[in-house]
Amino acid sequence: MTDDRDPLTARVRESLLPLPSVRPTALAEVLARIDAHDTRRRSLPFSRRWATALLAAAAVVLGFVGRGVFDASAPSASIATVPSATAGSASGVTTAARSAGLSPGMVPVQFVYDDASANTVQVVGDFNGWGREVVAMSRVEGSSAWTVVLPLMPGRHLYAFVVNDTQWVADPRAPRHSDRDFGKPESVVMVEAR
Amino acid sequence: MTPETSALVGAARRGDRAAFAVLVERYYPRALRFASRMLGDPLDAEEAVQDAWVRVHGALPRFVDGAAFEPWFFRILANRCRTSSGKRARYVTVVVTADVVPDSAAPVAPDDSWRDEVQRALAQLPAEQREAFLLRHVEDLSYEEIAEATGIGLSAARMRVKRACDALRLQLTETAAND
Repeated sequence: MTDDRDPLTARVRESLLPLPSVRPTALAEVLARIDAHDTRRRSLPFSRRWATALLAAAAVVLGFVGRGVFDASAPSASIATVPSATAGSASGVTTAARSAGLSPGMVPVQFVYDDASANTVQVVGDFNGWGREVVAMSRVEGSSAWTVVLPLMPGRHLYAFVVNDTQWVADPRAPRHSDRDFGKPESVVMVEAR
Repeated sequence: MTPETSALVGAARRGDRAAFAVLVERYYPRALRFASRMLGDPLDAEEAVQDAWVRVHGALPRFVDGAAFEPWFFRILANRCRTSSGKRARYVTVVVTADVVPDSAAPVAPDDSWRDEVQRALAQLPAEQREAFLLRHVEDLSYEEIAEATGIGLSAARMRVKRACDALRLQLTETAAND
């Protein structure tokens, strides 16, 4: 899309183009804020929730009518209604999942790994005997992301991903463990008690 | 929108948090770049971006299947940036212009000086022109997508970008010639 770009504009663009560095905790912070937002919304008194919903619905309908668009096929259920819970401050690791079926004290932790070339991905760590119990990750349909949710006890855990049954890789989104027990890259996740 | 982004948005709409996390991770750097250029302050930018993601998450069920994600996303982000600018306008900005001792150990590179000039010139544009310029020339949105993201007509979008380019040219031509 460079049709209307003169040399000076191109030079300005060049200086504005570099992407800023993203703090490793940014993703976890966004997800924690979403959970906090959802929790606040759910804790509103019933009458206020209805009032808020009606006002929001009125605004949306007015907006759609104003633009001549109405998507009748849009699902009415909000993502916010999916039961979820945060696990805390794990850097770069999504720490939310369904809380049903957990042993007391355990916290659901969601691991995400992005790799378009992977055919299989497993997560290994101190919580599963470094692979003695195989924990396969599932591919998010239509994308290169792999994910699994594991119940973990609060505390510090070390883990890594095993790609295509052979390649041991650290989580690029999480802090590295400095002491390589197995001589292989490992990542650290901190799970906070809920 | 790539088929993969479309699949991620679709999965996120259905409540798949992993898909949403990947979406955040992929778009966060661009969102932060846009907000930083719009607001000129890294903390304000970070706040606007995080707030935008919370709103994106809440609005996903209303996202029309098959629509382009980027204009929709940048519309939400640009709104957050405008709100942030409004809040900031209530405070007085103190600019120190005297008695600044340059650090001789860290000479200013020509590139740094040009980048500062660009940021200064950009900050002087009216917000709606800065927004249109960034969407067009940094985020590579088409004029149609800019119109959708900013809620204005196609010709107004073209005009905003053109006026921004003209203003930047006026302010930066001398600097560029001196480099």
